[in-house]
Amino acid sequence: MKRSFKDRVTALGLSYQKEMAFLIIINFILLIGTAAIYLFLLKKIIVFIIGAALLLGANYLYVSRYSAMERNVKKEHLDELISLLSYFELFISNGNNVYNSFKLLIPYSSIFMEDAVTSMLNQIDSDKTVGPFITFASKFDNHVIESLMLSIYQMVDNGENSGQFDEFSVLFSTISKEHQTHLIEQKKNKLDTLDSLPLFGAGAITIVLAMSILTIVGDLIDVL
Amino acid sequence: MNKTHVIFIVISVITSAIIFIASENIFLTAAVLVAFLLFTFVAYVPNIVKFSKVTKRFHECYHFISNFVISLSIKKVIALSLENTTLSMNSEFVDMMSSLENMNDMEKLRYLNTDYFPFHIYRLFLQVIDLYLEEGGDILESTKYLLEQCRYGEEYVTSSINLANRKYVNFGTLWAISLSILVLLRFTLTDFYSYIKNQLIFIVSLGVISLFLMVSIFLLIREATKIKIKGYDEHEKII
Repeated sequence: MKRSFKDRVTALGLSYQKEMAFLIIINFILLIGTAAIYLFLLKKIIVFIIGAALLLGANYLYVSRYSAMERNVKKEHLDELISLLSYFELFISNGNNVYNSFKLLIPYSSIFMEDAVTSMLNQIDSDKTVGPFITFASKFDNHVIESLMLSIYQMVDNGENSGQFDEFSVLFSTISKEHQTHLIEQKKNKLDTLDSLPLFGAGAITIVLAMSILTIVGDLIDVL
Repeated sequence: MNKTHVIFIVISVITSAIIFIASENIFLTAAVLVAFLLFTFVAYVPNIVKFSKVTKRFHECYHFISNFVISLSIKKVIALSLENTTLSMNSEFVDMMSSLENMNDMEKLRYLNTDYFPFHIYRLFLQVIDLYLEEGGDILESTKYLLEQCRYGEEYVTSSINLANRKYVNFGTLWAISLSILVLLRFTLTDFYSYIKNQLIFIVSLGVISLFLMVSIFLLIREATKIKIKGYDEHEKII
């Protein structure tokens, strides 16, 4: 089901009223600025065209940042779940059953994860099928998590025998290792993007020197 | 004041010296020096110190858990294992443990979780130890998955430190080359410089470039010192 814009903003932990007030202020400032430039500085239609483009651009950037925030939150949740499943693996290996192991995860969980785990456990109480596990996995929008949850369900279905646990363990070990590599890769990529900053600095220095040379040349032409 | 402060104060002075050589303007030089020192004490050093503390503690936690488990698998007694492991730790840890003489061994282990090792991995370790005390069994088998997660964590922390250090060197070299353009032109085109150094636009531009340098260093440090260790900044960023 598609959520409304208001629900999306609220789900990110932001105040819908504040966000909208800020957006209105940005629009108001841009409109007033464009009108002021037209009235007092430059009475040309291009001012309105640039103003409209700025207005559209600012609104687009402001609103599109919610999608980026949602992606970040989803990623954080997935990171957390993979950490929690490693704890789950430890609990199972130490003789706890699946239900108890999920219960033991709650003290280590964020509010989102606590709600998700509690809701799954409540569903398991009344529904012994794979349904609660699939519903839980759907919150992470990731096929790997779905496979892991199915593997966990098979553990319940087959009475948590060691063969089923080994299957989960092998699958999780691969995912955990991949996730670890991904985290390091991601950090490296983020740091690599910052390499452009000193280059911008060098560019700015060159522009300043070029402008100074042009000023000197301009002065020389004036003298001549 | 630690080594990091000294390094950044030296960088502040060198940058200010470059700005003075390029502009010969004492006010701009003073402003750059003050701004750089402000960034150093408010933004740069606190981030680096926090990162160093977290990574150092995680190394210690990894070392402590591994040694304790191995020791326990041999000695089979918590007290002896704790004593042996404590002896293999650094002086700060040994001093802290000495101050806990009135506590019993399990209380000491639990106390470590309150401030010294606030990581999830350590809480899980405590749960495994509790289970071992209740039911016995093979501690090496019980901690197999815990030690694996510890090792993953340790690899992540070590990689983060190496990446950050490598990036500091790259970034510093690139900025040094960029700023050296100003110094080189100052000495090779002396007449040209004597003309432009009095122009307001040149002075303002140097100020803006210096500010950009400070902000870019801050962005680098902020990104390089970001680290995800569950339990340290519990749920800080997760809604």
